[in-house]
Amino acid sequence: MQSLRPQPQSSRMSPLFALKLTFPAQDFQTNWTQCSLLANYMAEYTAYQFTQQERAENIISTVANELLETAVHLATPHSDLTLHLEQHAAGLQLEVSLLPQPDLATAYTAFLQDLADDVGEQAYMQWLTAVTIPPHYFNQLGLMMIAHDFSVRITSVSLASERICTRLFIPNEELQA
Amino acid sequence: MTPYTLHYDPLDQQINFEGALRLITEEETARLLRELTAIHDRIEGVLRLNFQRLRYINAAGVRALSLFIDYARRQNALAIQVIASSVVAWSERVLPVLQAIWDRVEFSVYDKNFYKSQGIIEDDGFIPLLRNQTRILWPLEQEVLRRHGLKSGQRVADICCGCGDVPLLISREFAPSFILGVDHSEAAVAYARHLQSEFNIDNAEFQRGDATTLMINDNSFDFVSCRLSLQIFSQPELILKELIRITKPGGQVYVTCEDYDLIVGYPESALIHETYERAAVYGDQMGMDLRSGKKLYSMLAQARLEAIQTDHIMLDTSRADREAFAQVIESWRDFSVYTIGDDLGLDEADQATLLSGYEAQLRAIRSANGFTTWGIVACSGQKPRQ
Ligand SMILES: C[S@@+](CC[C@H](N)C(=O)[O-])C[C@H]1O[C@@H](n2cnc3c(N)ncnc32)[C@H](O)[C@@H]1O
Repeated sequence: MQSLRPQPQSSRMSPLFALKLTFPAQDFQTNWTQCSLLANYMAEYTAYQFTQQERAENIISTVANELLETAVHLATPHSDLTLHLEQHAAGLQLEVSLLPQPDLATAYTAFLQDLADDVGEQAYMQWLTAVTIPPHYFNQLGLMMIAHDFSVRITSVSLASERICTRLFIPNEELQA
Repeated sequence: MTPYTLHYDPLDQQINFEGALRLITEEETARLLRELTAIHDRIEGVLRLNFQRLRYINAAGVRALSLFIDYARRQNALAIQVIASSVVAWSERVLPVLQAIWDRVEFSVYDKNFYKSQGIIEDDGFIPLLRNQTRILWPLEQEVLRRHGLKSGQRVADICCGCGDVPLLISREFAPSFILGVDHSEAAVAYARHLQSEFNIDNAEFQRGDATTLMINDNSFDFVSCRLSLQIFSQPELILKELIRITKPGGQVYVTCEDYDLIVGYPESALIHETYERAAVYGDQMGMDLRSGKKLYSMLAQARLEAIQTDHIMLDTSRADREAFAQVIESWRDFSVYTIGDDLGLDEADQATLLSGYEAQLRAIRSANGFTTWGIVACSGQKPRQ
């Protein structure tokens, strides 16, 4: 684990606080409860900076857990997941970069594109009450839930060497009502 | 984090969820659904789903609940009430979707307006009143706390701790191994954390929580206090039950309540008496029992605490700094006449009558020969060891 100091020469706005973690995807694929553990850890580690500490902790953990579950579904076994959390003046940014399983990559980016356009109420209801989950499942439901119920922005960019980076931004207003 | 547990309370036809409902496999979803539908199928009327103690959920957990609501919709036999809490922030955001699945689902947030005066008590304008009170009370109460068993090295919890002064004073004066302060007011907890860091106190922690549903393990504290707070809650026995639950067997539960029947003053005794009579009635209308000190002994006895001890914390003008005492009465005057008075829509004449007694009491405090009291009952009992 690394706690990063802001880079002075960075072209982006320097974060107030940053945390970067890298871990083997397989750890989580064989033990799914690690997602929950890590989400809670990050949330507790970060929340003390917010006035409404319990609220911030609970929301960060909920959102981070869905992002992690998605990442673990998507990642190729034996690859690494990198998780990057930054606090900015306007809110908290969570990024996860991973090497997706080839048969999921296209579906995932298309799904995120649809999600960015609109979280269709009808579609969300259908996912929630679906008796079985579809074969190519990468926690679409979790991403829909956080987009539907929390004011979170989700974007995705393709990186070099076929890795995908998914970025989530939780504005301060969501963390302190 | 413990995985979720589910308790069914047949008295309220209520399913209480606890822990973390983060489901992973389809088998887990199916198992939860089976448990829920089994309860559904053996009752009639209303079924309550209570999430006050469910700290976390994931989307798979929400799906399992949605599948259950969809089942209930198809059966169309029950009405469902879903109870969220602002203490577990996810619940307010995520659970309303269940209403969209079936219109016989009623959604509520338990701790929004859960007692009548919540808005004014949780306002940060209430903090100076609490601080003024503690300033004059602490010199007497610390001795009382000692008599009731508070000592160094204990794990202590102060529930409904307000803006944190008393837990921090306990930390300084009694050297507990750890002290936890819990309050539902965001403003009060933020204030407490600020004081704690200003005073560099590291064996204390403050938590925003609901005293009727504490997120604290059973049997985890040696000494649990709840001071000057039971009277503002319409069901104090719910809080008392929680205080007892988190106390270790053999540990001590300590509660205090004021009692307006213990307030007297001289001269102008009648005016002062009349004002506190009225203030108690207005308090009643706001859901606050300002004469509850006398009821503590029987509350603790009914809760089967042992070795119950009581004390009066009787503040009077001869035992408190007169100016500090006057500041407390000024805070009460403003709170009662203006804050509560406005809330209840008292007319000018009623406000003036109320005001006159507080002014008479202030004259008594500020004149060298005047006398007045503020009486509090402190009561503690031991949790049976068995
Ligand atoms: C009159 S104040 C007393 C505060 C403190 N014990 C003191 O003596 O300064 C009552 C406190 O109880 C808190 N309170 C009331 N109901 C509560 C509940 N259900 N859970 C947690 N705190 C509660 C209020 O927010 C308020 O801070």
